[in-house]
Amino acid sequence: MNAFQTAAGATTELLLLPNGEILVHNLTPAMATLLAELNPADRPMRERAAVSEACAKPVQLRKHPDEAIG
Amino acid sequence: MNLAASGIRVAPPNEGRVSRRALARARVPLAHAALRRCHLCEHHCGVDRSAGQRGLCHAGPQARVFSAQVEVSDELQLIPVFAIALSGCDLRCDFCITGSESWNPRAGQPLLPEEIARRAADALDLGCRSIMILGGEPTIHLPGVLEIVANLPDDATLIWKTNAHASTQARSLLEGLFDIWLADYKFGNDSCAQRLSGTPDYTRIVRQNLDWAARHSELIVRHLLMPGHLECCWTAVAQWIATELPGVKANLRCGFWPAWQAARHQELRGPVAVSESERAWEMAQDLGLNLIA
Repeated sequence: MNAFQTAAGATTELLLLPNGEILVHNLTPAMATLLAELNPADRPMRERAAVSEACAKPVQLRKHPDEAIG
Repeated sequence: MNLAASGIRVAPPNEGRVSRRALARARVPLAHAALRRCHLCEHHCGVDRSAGQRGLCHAGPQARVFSAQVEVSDELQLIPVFAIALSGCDLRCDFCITGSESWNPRAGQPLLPEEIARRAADALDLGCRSIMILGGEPTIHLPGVLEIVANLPDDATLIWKTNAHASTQARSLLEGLFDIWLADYKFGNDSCAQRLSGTPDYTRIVRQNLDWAARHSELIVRHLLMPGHLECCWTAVAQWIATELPGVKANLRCGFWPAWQAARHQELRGPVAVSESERAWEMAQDLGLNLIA
């Protein structure tokens, strides 16, 4: 788990299509990592997961009073 | 609005003559004043938002935030991005993926510029590559936007995510503040724009904004391919980009999501067919577009 994955209130929306395709809106680093693990053949998702991991540092986002936004 | 007459010098981002923070801070009073006779977007409602009047966007003087988080769904050169989404929009796209927030400027929480800027700076410290201000449509909330920018680090990469429906006045208030304009070019003709978003004179306005953005910052043009709109919309958009903005980065998005009130339109009740996506990509390549992911 990277630093961004601990951010409270982060939201991703998923739409599952009848053919098994998944559409994603507001993709968070945590969801990118999860989706990349679910389908390792999805190269674009792997790229996004990799960016998430590469840029994360082992510290957490601080919680703020308006953290519930979103 | 004549910025020269107001004594404000305009400098490109990070150029150093005037700090971006200072530039934004100096423009805050001008943006607040603009709300008294609002012409920030090309609807030119002319209402006094400060006095409680509402135009087509229904927005008042106070911006609100419906999402503020780190995301990796935007262009690879931008991510991870700290995305600040402001409620309300001046367009009424029936297929809007954030319709409940974009059509309602009262959604979310009141914008606290210093607080949100501090969170954005935290995200940069953690490795975020950029900060994006979006909506809804952020143009209608320029006072709040300028207050955010006035509290952000001068060396941060700032992205302006817009529907490209801003007025000349709004652009003058934005000049020199954002490194990248990430602009939607949604419709290839005025008929589709009117029918799907209630926007008149769309083509002239969006092209004017894109021309301006290309001259004042880095520009990335996005087009969301809609089912049944390959010929009428994407073809026209792609050809115009190829002709008028050669080399400008373009992002063709094929993951249409039949959201919000898309079902009002027969052709928008499902996703884009694979065959349509493939044809759209082929067309882009044939035209030599600078496609990015």
